[in-house]
Amino acid sequence: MTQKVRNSAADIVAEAQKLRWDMGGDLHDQLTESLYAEAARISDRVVSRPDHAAARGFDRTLDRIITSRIWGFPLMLLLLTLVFWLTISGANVPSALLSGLLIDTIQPMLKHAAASIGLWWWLDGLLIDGMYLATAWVVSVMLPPMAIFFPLFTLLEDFGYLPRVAFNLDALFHRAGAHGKQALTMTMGFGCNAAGVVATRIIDSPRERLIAIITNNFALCNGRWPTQILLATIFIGALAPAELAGLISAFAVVGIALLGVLLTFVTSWSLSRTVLRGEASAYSLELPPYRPPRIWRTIYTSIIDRTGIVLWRAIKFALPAGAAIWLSANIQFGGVSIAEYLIHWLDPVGLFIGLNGVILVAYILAIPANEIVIPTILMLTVLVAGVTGVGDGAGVMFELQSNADVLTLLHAGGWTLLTAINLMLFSLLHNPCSTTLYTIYRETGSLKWTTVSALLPVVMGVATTFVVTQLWHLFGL
Amino acid sequence: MSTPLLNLLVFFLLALSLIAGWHYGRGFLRVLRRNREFKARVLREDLLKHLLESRLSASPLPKEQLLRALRIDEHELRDVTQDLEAHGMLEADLQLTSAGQTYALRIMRAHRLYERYLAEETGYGEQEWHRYADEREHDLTEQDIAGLARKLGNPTHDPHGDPIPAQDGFVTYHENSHALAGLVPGQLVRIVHVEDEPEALYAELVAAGLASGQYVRVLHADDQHVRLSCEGREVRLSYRAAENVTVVADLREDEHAVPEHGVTLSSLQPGQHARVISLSQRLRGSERRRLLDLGLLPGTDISAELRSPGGDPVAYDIRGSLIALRRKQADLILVEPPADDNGPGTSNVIESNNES
Amino acid sequence: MKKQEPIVQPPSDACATCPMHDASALKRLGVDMKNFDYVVALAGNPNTGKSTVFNSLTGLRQHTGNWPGKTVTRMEGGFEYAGLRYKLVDLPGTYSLLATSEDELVARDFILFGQPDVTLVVVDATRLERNLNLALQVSQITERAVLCLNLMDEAKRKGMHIDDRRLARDLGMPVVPMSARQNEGIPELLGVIGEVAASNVRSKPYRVSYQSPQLRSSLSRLTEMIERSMPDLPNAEWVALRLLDGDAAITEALLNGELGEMRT
Repeated sequence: MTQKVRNSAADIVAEAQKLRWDMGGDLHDQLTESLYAEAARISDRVVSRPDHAAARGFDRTLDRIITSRIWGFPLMLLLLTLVFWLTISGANVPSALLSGLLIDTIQPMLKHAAASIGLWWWLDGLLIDGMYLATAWVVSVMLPPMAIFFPLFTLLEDFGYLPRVAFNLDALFHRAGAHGKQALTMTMGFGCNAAGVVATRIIDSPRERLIAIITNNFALCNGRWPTQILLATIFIGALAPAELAGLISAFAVVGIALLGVLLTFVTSWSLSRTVLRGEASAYSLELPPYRPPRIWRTIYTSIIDRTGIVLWRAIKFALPAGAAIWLSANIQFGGVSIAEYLIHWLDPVGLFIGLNGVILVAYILAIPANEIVIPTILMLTVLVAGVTGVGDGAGVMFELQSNADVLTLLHAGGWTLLTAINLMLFSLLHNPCSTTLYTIYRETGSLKWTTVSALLPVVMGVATTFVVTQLWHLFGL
Repeated sequence: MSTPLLNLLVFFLLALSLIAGWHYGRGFLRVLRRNREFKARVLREDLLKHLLESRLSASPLPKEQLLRALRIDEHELRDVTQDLEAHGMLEADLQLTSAGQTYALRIMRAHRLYERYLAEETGYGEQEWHRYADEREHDLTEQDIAGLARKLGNPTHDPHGDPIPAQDGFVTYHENSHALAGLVPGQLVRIVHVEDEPEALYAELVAAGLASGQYVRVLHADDQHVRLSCEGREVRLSYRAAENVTVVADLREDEHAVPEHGVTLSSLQPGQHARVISLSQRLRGSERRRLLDLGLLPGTDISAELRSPGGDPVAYDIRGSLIALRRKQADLILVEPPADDNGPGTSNVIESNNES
Repeated sequence: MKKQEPIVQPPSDACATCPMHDASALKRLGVDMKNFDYVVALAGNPNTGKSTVFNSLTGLRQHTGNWPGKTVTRMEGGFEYAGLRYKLVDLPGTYSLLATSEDELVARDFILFGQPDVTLVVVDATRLERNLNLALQVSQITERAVLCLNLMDEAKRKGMHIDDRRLARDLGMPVVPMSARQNEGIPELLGVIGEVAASNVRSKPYRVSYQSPQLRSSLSRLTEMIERSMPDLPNAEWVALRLLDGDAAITEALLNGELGEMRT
């Protein structure tokens, strides 16, 4: 019985092959045409709309305003500025509260408890000073802005506004070989690059999606803003008279962010014309009907879905990073810690590109999260420069309340204005954090594109800082 | 201080050499790989392929033309011919044996499948297909070819309209096909093949936007030029380029109903609506399927709704959904001229000067 | 809530409540049917509220955005209705099932080889025409399809009226009007899912009339051959179409007998 079926199955396949030669190549066209003709027939019979034009009048009126030549861009800038302003100003208070709770209250309590049960010093250091502290740091810096930024962004998305932004900006991105929706994944990247990479799912054309993924790192993420602001304030703002200092340092930070946007376009352009030229591309952008957003539901799901997932991944990576940081500063060979070995070894390289060994080691150790780069740098500087009376001991990250103290410490570590400028550039141009890299791997499923995303910005960062340093020396600054 | 200057100089030289290395490096690697053994095989395979093509299309292949195509001299041709005769692939007078034909069919299958793959699944341009396929045809293993065929849904024709030999070597050509160059004005024909060699003539055909599967009407023909109406545009070709296009003239009944008074979708102004005539054959692969799936089909009513502040893209109402298309896509969609239209859209209407 | 024991009936030829699905095929597709009685597949165009329907049924909180093409990976969840446990598999949102992209292939293979007990097709009531393209294709593959006419609130807002009874008759499958965002129509949907899963009553596969005469003649010739060789196969015409399109997966399934062994 089975044998008989198989035999005739082969006959059927052979017959199909024969028939296919006469079919012509446009079977897909023919099938779709017939299906749609059928769908139109059915839909005409069952749907009655009283007045086609009036029914969608509201949507179209709104669309004409949102996508108009005059109002489109100002409206977009206004809304995005509002979102960023709400995020930045709204995050300060809960951030301070969280850090007060997690770092200033719970950590001493844990230390106290560990001491009272007589925990070995190294276990206490590894668990509390290393792993707990790094995680607490990431959570207190990362959580509040994300918990504000993502729901706001999601509300705009649910309403249907974001696809219109993509529509408005498409011409600009098209010129760089990218998709208009990249405007949104880039904006998302200002909140968190990992979330930005996940958001590229909305780009349904393979080439443009890869471009958006690889260049997302050029959007200065939430974890890197504090670094920029600190350095701009204590080094660049200090150059200007006191009354202008705030403004100048703000310009410096915005300048770096804009440089990131510029590099997004430049890199997109070159990628689309070189390595990604052969990838398939199929453009379409649907503008969905406007829908009244369901505010509470959105806040709930976006916190659970976006914030929660990103935060969870960050914690998973911060725990081992905390351990690595603590261990590197505490495991010693001949009285010198691993961190110090590394720093001395990398110092010439660092100085050659206008940074220093401490910064490079900090970037290697703090790969899981940009949030802990500055605390790690401070800790390592104390360790290497042999400053006493500052910090909480080897391997314990810390922050200083006063910017003047930070400046003193960094000067002791041999920092100059050039170091600060280069660190600001390097903070923009280095490999994505490990959370983002993991996300890129998950989304692309390709080791090749993950490697490209990791190496491209580092190479650009090293090249940029190198050129800046050599020019700086050349002009004898 | 000359050190920084020196450093910068070294850096830029290094960067330049890296870029140059990337640009030419792959070619360099190929040169390294192409040892004598490999080159000899490529030559053998290319010769067999040319002989097979000439036999299948029943067009004789003069020796000079063969030498030019293979870029060799008489001497080399004699060597490679002897070699192939020794392997039982060729008989006297450059006649393929059945073993030679089987071998050549496999190379042809690999070449055409790969061209199809490039056209459907990648972003490479028409003029690159042939070159890449010419390289890859010699590398693809039997397994690669089978995998490619599977992935592409066992296609029967390559993007130029040539049949892809089946795994068992079965291949069939269009009967009653003619060169586009020899037709009389007024005739409506369907393009079944656009020859991609030589490169200069193919470039002219690509620039003219001709592709296999299109319906064209001859407007004017002399021994210098051929003028056509094709997908709403008027196209002028040199006689030699037109010789490289093969068409079928005796169309089926339903094929005569193709409307010719079309304008491109991109000429529609916001507020205007029109009925789709056809999607250009140059709209291929995933891009074509996407538009079809969205319901953009012949006969669909479509209206331009919004123009992006940057001028491009334009959002169209397609079956109740608002879909933005870029200009280069809308240029490839032919619609009937909007009835109430006095705008700039009318400028590229083509009036066929014959009965339709 | 008190858990009810699933009603277990002795196996017989006319088993009224037997699951349709092939557990081993499902396992191969990555669906573990342990502790579940039925499997329900969820198909639909992007941005039709498919994820909202999924969340309403399972109580999960998957983010649903106003974007075409949100669900890329497959989501699974479970729910219990009338004492029976259902596994709900959310398929990638696609416009079509012609298997030209990875997403379409995943969705198509699940509906065909996974033989879900029920396949829900979520459609946007305000854009019925475009959505029916997919619904028609689903009905060509499976006889156990249910149409969720979602976003009825939006249609009402736009002043549209949809004759859902006529739609059900024309399509030959049950139609449930609903607004998943407002949680309207969920109980009715559950009822229909339960009926289709438990009964042997099936919808008639939709016969699309193809326009090209050449396609029609090739198709009828091939369909006839398939029907003669496999009289039990419910979707012979669809299989014939796939063969004409050079579909490698279907060709292989036919050659190795997988298609012929399918239960109907």
